[in-house]
Amino acid sequence: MKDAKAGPWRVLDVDVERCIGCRACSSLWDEISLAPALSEEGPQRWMRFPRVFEEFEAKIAESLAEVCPTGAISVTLADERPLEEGIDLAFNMIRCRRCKTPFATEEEVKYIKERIPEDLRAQNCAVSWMELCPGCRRSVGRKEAARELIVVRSGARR
Amino acid sequence: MEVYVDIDRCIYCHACEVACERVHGEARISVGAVEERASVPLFCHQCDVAPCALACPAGSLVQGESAVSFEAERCTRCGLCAIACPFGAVYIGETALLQKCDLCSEREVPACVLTCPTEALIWGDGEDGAKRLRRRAAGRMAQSCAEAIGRGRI
Repeated sequence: MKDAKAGPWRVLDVDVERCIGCRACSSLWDEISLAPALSEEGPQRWMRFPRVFEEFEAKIAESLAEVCPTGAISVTLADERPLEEGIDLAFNMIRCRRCKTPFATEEEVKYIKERIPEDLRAQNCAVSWMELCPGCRRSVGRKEAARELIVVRSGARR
Repeated sequence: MEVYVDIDRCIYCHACEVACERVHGEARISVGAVEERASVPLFCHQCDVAPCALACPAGSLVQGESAVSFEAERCTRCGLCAIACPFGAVYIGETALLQKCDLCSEREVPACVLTCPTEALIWGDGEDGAKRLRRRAAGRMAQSCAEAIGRGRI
């Protein structure tokens, strides 16, 4: 039988410059934990990545690098087991301008904005929709859609 | 073909949400009240230039000519589409992957349209849908004029 303590080890690495704190990897592998937190700088999303994959997790190790949208995750084989248990990252969250709920990391919003043409972002809204959480976008959209109808109905009740 | 909304007819019954949930497992349409005077069903607008598709790193959301399609096998659940959608109409589902209206691609007429008891949801192409909304608006205008005349206001 193979010694469970022997290498080579499948080791996970995260490029902290590239990781945007989305949930693609943690959706695939629940060993990657994700938690909301509050720091002096405001709300944060904390992520903890385990460093070593067990034998039976070889398949997940392969897919993890693939699902990462920014190529931040890499898996390598190492002869020695890494000393640290995990990699901890903290991302500053953006609060909704309207309801103040944290809804995305700064890096997620930056990633999306870079992919959306400037003219589309400015289109018919004074405030970019990316400053609002999805729930407030729905509320604002509904209010806008019902504006005329509410004027009519308010008049009818007078 | 698209789904048009006549919010004047929406009665906040949530039947569209139930129908959608029955077909897709989770509702991709949501009805909300505005100032207790109106209610508005909200769902994917099938944008011409869709931010969700632009943001999707996996090629799961694909910009089509008349709709934005969703390929479940490619989705990685990163959640970026939900942050990108200007209307808050893309949801990360509890049970499945992301939830976004696909106009019931596997059916002839979307379940929400078939279920809506007041025909507030209309299934039609650009011209047809807009024409039906205009006709209804004209009808309402005519009726309120007639009422005003009847009460001697005009």
